[in-house]
Amino acid sequence: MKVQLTTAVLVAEDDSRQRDFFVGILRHLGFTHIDHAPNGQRALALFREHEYGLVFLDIEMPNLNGIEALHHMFEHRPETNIVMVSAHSTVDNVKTAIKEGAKGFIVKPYSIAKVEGVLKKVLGV
Amino acid sequence: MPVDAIHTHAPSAGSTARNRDLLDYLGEGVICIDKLGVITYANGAAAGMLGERPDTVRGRLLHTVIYSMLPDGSSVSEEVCPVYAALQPDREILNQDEVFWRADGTVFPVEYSAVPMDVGGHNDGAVVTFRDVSERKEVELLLRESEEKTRLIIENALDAILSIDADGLIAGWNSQATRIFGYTPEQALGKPVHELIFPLRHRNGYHRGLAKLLADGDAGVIERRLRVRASGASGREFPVEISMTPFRSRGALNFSAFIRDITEQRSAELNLRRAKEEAEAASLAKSEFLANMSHEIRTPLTAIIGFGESLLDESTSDADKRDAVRSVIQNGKHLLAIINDILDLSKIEADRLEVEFIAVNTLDLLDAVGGLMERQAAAKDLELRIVPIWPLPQTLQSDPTRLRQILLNLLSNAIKFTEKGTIWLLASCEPSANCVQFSVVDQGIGIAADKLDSLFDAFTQADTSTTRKYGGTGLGLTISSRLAKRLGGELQVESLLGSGSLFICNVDAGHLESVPMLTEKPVAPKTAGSDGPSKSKRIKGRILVAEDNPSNQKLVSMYLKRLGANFVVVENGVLAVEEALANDYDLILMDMQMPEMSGIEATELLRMSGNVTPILGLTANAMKVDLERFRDAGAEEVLLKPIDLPIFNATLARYLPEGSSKEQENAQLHDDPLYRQLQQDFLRWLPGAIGGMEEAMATSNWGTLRDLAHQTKGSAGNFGFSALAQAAADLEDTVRAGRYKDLTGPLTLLKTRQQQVSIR
Repeated sequence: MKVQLTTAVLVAEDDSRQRDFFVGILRHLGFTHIDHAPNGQRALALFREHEYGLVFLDIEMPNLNGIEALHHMFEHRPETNIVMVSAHSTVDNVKTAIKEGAKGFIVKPYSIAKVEGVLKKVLGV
Repeated sequence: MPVDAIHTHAPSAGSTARNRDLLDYLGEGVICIDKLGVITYANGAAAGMLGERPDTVRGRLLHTVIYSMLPDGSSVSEEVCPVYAALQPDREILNQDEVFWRADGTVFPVEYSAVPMDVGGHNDGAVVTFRDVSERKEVELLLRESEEKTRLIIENALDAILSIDADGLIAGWNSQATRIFGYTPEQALGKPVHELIFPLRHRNGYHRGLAKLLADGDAGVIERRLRVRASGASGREFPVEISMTPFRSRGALNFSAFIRDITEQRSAELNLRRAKEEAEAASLAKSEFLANMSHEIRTPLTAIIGFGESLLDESTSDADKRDAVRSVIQNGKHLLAIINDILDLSKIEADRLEVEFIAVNTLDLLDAVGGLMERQAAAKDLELRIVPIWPLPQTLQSDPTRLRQILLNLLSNAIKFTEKGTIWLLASCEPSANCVQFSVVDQGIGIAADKLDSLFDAFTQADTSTTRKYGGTGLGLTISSRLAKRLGGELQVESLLGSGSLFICNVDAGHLESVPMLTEKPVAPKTAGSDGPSKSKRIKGRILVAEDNPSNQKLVSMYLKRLGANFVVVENGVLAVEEALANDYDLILMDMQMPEMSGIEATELLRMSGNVTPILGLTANAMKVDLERFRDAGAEEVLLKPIDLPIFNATLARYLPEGSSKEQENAQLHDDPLYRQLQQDFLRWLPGAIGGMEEAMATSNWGTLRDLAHQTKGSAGNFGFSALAQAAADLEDTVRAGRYKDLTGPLTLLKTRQQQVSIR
């Protein structure tokens, strides 16, 4: 799967290596417009300035965690596609994210298959 | 006689005093009147009856005393007074139906006579004698009422009531008798009873019985209800219930006969008896069936247990163990077949079998059936020939599962009962009738003509010894026949004992006008059986198995190992979700019923999370709704337990085709220059990170140590260095647990892993 994806994507992840890797995967998959933020606060600021078709939020982040960021973003644009990311795949985490309105849930480590699955579901590609 | 005495002596004076005293004792009233009707004498009884005294009536006109009025209250003149008529010579009055009036104005019925008194040749008045007949009238009235009641009862009775006189002739015939027998009373009365109402062939017997009855009052019929045949004017014969009671009339023995037409009752009884017999027969058949079934179920179970035990026995040789396992499998399959058949049949019986009508590829169906049966036929050295008779519709509208079930059953029977030769499966079509016909012909033992009729009946088997010898539940044909009906057709059989059998199954194929008709086998045909279940391909990819039952875990593991698959087993839905999200799998085998979280729930949650790994549901519950719920939750397919190995293997092969597993997809990623760049970056960063960790450990800077370990874990995982990621995770966990004294081991391991990664 390698297509030109015009959707603007925002990635919020505090670990810079993980972030780079994830952005790398998204590039590999064909996304060209990818913004990234090291914490929830920064992600929210970017979110207010740009219109993203897809947002990935790490749950465990300093300065506004993923769930808190999700609440603010939904207040701003409730129709946004938000996918939660976490290193912890506990079912409770997953259930909470889905209940809060997340369109998907990715458990780290990132992999192409995981991202592809979410994209299939969220963007239909 | 007092009247005579009066007649002769009463008027004469002188000697009359004694007579008059005598008259006073008389019970009857006696009154003497003169020529003018004036009372000259009244005895005590007369005065008493009239409510007077003798001295108060004497001298009064008789008419005014006794006839002042008629009973209806109208007056009567003296001229027409009936008593006075006796004042004429030679007129004797005898009246039995009159009333006299009492002094108090009440009436009473009387019987009286008035006789002229002839003294010396000339008329000298009259003597009236009377008596009160109230009581007799009362009795007569009661009698009349009683007779009327009896008559009404007899006339309105629902039974024919006859009375029969001493000569055996009919003396009474009520209206119901007319209705039942069709003779009017005029036609019936006076006729010999045995000739009128009994059929000719029974007459002599009844006549003899009647003669004996009339002679000694008993012929075993008195006070009993007898059921006999009767006939009426129309000649129709019908059953009646008859009871006779004797009565004496003028010294002779008579009978009343009560006769009831019991045609309806009798037919109701017969119906009831028939229903009862049928119910008993059905119950007996079911009991026999159950007894047979429990035997059929016990037999394979005994074998399974016995062979199972022999496997545990140390002294059993390996060859014997293999045989034992084979027997266990064989018997297990047989047991499953029996249970499936029983369930199918009970569903059909309860009319709860679900059928779906979808397009079925005709040739694919034949190929599939042929492929499945070929091995069975080959095992007995039989030839199985599948012959399409052109033209055939490309598809027919039917239920593929049920249709296949019928054909497999017919073929497996044919193979079972044939020792050598060929089995044919023919398919032909009658397009105008929208009907496709499948025929299975064998050269087997055949079926006796007298067994053919009951061949398709539930709970009856051609011969239970057949079941013993050839196995099977004996329900296959019953089920097939019912299924054929549900598919809009029927199953027929022709057979000749010793020559073979022909089973013809017609099914409704839906509208065939719009379906292409094939006139020959398409080019590059699939050859039946070439994709046989014996050759299981090796599959590639990672499989997650979620199954709580340890035996099933073992079984699935064994199957997957034989396919060379790489798999992980978890035992509930929660772990399945966590594991499926945390790692990449190419396929998930998900049991439906599991603790913590069901397979359906887990599937749903995975799909909501954006996980698109194909999920194969596994369930022992064949209910259609459950299968649909599983599919609705997001499972690609649902397989039934117990697992049918060829289907299992084929399905897995479909989802894990060689060359497209996620490993390979990742490999593709690994070739991406961008990825290589990132990987190199990580490997360059790694030694510094490890140095940082050592320093942090030396300075007890646990936060830094934990964060570095955490970062290493994440990135190592991303770049496929799983051993390194694991070592980093161990280190992180140890720090988090505060076991600072135990950190040396994990850190050393991490360094070793780092060197391995660097070398690579």
